[in-house]
Amino acid sequence: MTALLEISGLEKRFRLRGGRVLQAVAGVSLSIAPGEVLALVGESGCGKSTLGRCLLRLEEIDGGEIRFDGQRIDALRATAFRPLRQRIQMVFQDPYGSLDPRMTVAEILAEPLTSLGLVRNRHDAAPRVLELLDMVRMPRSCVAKKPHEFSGGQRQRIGIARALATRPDLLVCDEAVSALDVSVKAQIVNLLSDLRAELGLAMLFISHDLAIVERIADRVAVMYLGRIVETGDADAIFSSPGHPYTRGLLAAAPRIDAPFTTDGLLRGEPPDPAAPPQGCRFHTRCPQAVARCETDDPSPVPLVPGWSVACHFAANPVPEPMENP
Amino acid sequence: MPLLEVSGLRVAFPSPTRPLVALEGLDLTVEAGETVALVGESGSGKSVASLAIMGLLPAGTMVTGQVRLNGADVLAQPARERRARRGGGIAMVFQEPMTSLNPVLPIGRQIIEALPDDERRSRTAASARAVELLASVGLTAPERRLSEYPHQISGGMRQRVMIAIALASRPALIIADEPTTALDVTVQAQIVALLRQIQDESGTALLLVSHDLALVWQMARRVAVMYAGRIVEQASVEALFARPRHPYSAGLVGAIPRLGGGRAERLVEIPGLAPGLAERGPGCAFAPRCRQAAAICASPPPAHGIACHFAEAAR
Amino acid sequence: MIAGIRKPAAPMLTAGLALLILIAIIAIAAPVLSGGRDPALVLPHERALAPGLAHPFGTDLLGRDLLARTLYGTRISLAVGLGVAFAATIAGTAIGMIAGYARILDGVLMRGIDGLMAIPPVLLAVTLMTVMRGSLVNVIAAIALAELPRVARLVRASVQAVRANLYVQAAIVAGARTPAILLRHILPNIAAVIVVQATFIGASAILLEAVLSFIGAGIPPTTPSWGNIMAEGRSLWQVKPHILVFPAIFLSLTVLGVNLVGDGLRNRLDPRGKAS
Repeated sequence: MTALLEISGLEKRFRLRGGRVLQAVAGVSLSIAPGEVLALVGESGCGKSTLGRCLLRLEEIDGGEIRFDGQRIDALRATAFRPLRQRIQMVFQDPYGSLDPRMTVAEILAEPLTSLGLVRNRHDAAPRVLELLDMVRMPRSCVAKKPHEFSGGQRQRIGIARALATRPDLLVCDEAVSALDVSVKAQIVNLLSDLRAELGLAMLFISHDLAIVERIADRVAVMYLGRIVETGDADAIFSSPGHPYTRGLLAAAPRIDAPFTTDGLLRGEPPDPAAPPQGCRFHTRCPQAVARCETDDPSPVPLVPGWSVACHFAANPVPEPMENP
Repeated sequence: MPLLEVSGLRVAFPSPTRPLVALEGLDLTVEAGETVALVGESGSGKSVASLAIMGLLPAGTMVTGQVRLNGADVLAQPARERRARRGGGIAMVFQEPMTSLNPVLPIGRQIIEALPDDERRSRTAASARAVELLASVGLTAPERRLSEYPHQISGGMRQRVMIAIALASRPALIIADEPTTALDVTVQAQIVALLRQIQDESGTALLLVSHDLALVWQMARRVAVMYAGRIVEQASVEALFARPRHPYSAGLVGAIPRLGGGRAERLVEIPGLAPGLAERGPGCAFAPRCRQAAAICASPPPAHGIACHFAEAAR
Repeated sequence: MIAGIRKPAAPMLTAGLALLILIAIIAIAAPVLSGGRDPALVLPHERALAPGLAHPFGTDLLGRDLLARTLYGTRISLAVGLGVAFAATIAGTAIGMIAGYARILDGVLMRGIDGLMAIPPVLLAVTLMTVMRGSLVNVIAAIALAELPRVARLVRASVQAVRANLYVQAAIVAGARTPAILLRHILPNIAAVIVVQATFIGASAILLEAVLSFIGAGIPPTTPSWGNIMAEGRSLWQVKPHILVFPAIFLSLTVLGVNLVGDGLRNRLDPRGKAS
């Protein structure tokens, strides 16, 4: 089966003041099958949000290829890309900024339909608008209200409804629940899970919260300083992570089933993305780093089909940490 | 005698129509050396509570009730007296270190300003103490940090500086308001380890204000759950997680995604929304969202203990 | 406070609007209010008369009735104020929106605008008027050109601020084309600022017209304008102050009214803007 989305060697650079270059995405390859949820996890500055934005053409890429349903889309001109927006949509992180404060809910939900020519005018969009509100479990009476009349969780539902308006095949969720309260997060994650099952959606679920990711992801890709360090089946990675960074992330994630321990905690902080370390980018914080790691940048090694780890020790399962952080 | 004793703390904000009550009679104690967590979502009043205890609410806010530190009512004291106290007071660590650190002052200066008067007399002694503090919070090359500015260091390091500033006045109690929310998860874990270590070594009590129940599990011994301006349940952390007795606490605990739970586990939802300041009435504020709500919930819930008419039955 | 009348909710806005409505009524009802006197009628025997029964505001150096001239002059000022406000706002907004949204054109457009702004408005208007014949339309065009850089810069800055908002990116993702984004998302969110600025431009334009006419570069004296009425009274103001005084009072009150409306609007729109 052809992958729905296939990214190879994606690169995105930003020019900073003072002439420095920030390589936000430094050669990323991944793929998503139809109906599959791939979670992209990492901490701030790893480039995961930038990657998501590149998929939606909110940024232009500097290298690599993006193939959607077999067709190369990165080189398309803006006008040629527009029809594809029907099939790739996005849910944004900030429920307070992602809805135009001067538009009513009906106008917000109708916009993708009218802009992409799926309906002739807003009037014709009305049935679909009501259908979308039902889908995200919001009352139909919302249609005439404006965003400021709703809470964060409700606004996020409106944002999800807008993203689903054109029946997309792929939904990019950029930290879609990060800004929400705990109890509301639960509502939205459940909603996304249900919608994904009902509609057969594929998703690129971008998040830093591993516990949330575990609820919804089929596969996981872990990103660090612009590179993917591990990709594989979600259950497998969560139970026995192959890359030291993944292990560090899991060790640091707050758990409520066991007492707090400092075992496995990474030392140091994520380096400045504009000045990444030489060799393996993770070596400055890695408990297993050896001399080779400071000079050789490891490429992803497939452990089993579908599971690859970018580490010189990938083939050797979890060794003892060489020093306590 | 408990280190911190809050009784009947009530905070209301003036508004054109009627005062908006953010806190309705809070009762809370923290023993010396203990870590107590104040948990709630946005709008619950937990941040207002921490600011009220520190006396940091804007002028014009109506604050009634008592906040006793070692028996002395701190709310009644003028600010000058509070500052002149030699250690043994309350210090605060805020959520966003970039905005709570002064961006135009070097770090060393900000730490020295927080030192008690007798440690500030000599410049060299003050600097030495500042270096000592920076080292104690795990910053490398502490001497160099003295002359650096907040924007030159990373988020995690800034939070460590904030903790150092809090420790400078040798407080008996640190109030930490969402201390790790703005940090990456690997750095968050480091800060948790640091705070626990500081407590072990110096016996400082900690009042942790947070929405993150998992963080509370890692750090606190007792927890008070807040909803709509009231504490609805207080218990030890183990008891709360194992047997939450208030319907809201039960919902909150059920909503936490647990690592290792897999995809099969569906998160517990609490339907609806918390009421805003202007929408609270005399009855139980949680009733509209509560599965067990009945006619009796229109009358105010018990003011002490579990704030639920069905407390016995909510197991 | 007068007993029984409460202070209005927006005192500045109310006062300003009241003034402007009064001025508008004067403009419309000028023929009636001036008692049928002809502003262009030259009466050689009644030159430079002080205010009296026959001529309540007196007469000017050519014997024309000043009450009629002053009241008819209101029409010119209002026409200039409204005309310039419209023209400068529409042109300035168009330029500002393009400059604010299309980074490629930004540089070129803003250098042009900066060049225009470098010339003091009065000087610019005067220069333009020396090239064009003096007439109402030309005066409006010249002043509008002098005022539009202010609008363009304000709009450009506002557009850049709004463009950074997430909902604009959401609109791009939803497939909206650039014109739709500008008109549907950006313009409504900057409209309040533009409207307030337009009122201040109106006030400035009225003053500028008076200055132009005063120095003879504006409306020719056959059509009465407060500026050219005052111009004629310039040489005799110590002896015959009435020629200067009445138009000056009207001018001040009109500009005051427009400024009050502008301030009042800004106060009303700003806090609500922050809240949403």
